[in-house]
Amino acid sequence: MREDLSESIIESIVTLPTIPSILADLNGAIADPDSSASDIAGIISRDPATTTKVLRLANSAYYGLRSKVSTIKHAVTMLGFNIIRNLVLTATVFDISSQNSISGLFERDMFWRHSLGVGVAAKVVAKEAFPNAAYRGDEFFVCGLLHDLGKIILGQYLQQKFEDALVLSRDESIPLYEAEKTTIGCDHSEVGGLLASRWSLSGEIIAAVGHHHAPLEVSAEQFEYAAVTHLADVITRVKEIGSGGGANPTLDREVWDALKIDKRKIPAMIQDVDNALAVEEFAI
Amino acid sequence: MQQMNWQKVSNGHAKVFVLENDTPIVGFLGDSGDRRRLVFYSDLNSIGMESGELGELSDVIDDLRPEDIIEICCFIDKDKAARASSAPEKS
Repeated sequence: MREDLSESIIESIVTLPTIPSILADLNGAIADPDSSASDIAGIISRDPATTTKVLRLANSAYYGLRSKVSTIKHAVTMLGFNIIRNLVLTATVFDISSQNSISGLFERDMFWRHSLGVGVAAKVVAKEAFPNAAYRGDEFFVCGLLHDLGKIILGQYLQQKFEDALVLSRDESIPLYEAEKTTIGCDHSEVGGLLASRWSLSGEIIAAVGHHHAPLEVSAEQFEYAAVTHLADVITRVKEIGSGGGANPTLDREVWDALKIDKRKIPAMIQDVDNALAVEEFAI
Repeated sequence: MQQMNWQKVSNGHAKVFVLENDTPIVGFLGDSGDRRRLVFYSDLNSIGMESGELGELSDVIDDLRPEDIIEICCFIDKDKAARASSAPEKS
């Protein structure tokens, strides 16, 4: 009941964009066991702008391909359906915003840098918290990359109130999600989580986007994604990697304890984030 | 002792941290010979005095709060970067 109420409130506040057709078609194709790399490539290739961005992302140092890929089909073959879907999702999401800056408090390039930083940090944190889940590194990376999806929506569709929240957060030194609740009535994680759900994104992404400020509210199966993203966000903000807008969020101690990371590993984790970002050419 | 941000003191920066057991200590990042060193002291007045020295980060890390460890590591990096960018270029 509480979730329904929250959804209707959110929808009365901001009109959520419908899922881009390319993403909807891609979801359908990937769900079809008979789909081939050519089928997937065909869907993406319909959109030249997305094609260009996906190729750029696929050729970034992050994916470590031995040779550059110049066609989508080649990228699909080398990286697999799920990673390609994540790249299309990333390219699509960051395309929603047409704003380069909101009153100088929220710069698109700095926001991208922050998102990338959280993605990288999420992978580092996950490796420490869940050493047996190295194969899920890319999932955590995408969760971190997209965690602030809600800010893109608010910045695009509720710019004035989002700007008011940014100012309030800065002036009162309160986390942005608290300021948003005051000026908008809901926060970016709630908006982003609802959008991620409407777009039928994975449970992990929904959890990370919708609950990175309140990981303890999420189901046990998805907790680790929300919790890792939470810690990655805190680290990235303290390190001042890019800018997420507003004052820094605080570390939830219960979440930290639940991750069971040895405090003595923190210096090395932060160094690993630095090292990963130093080689990163993940430009959108 | 209440101190929100790192404060410039003598040849370095200092900040009060509250340990897990609610004991306040002071972190001091300053010059020690030809290198930069982070040392923790029992209070502000003990900075530089061996008698008040509690040790380096590795000596107190188990007692610090995780958010403070994150903040300390990031501040050390920031200090290092600031010093590297302001260092005179060698001819």
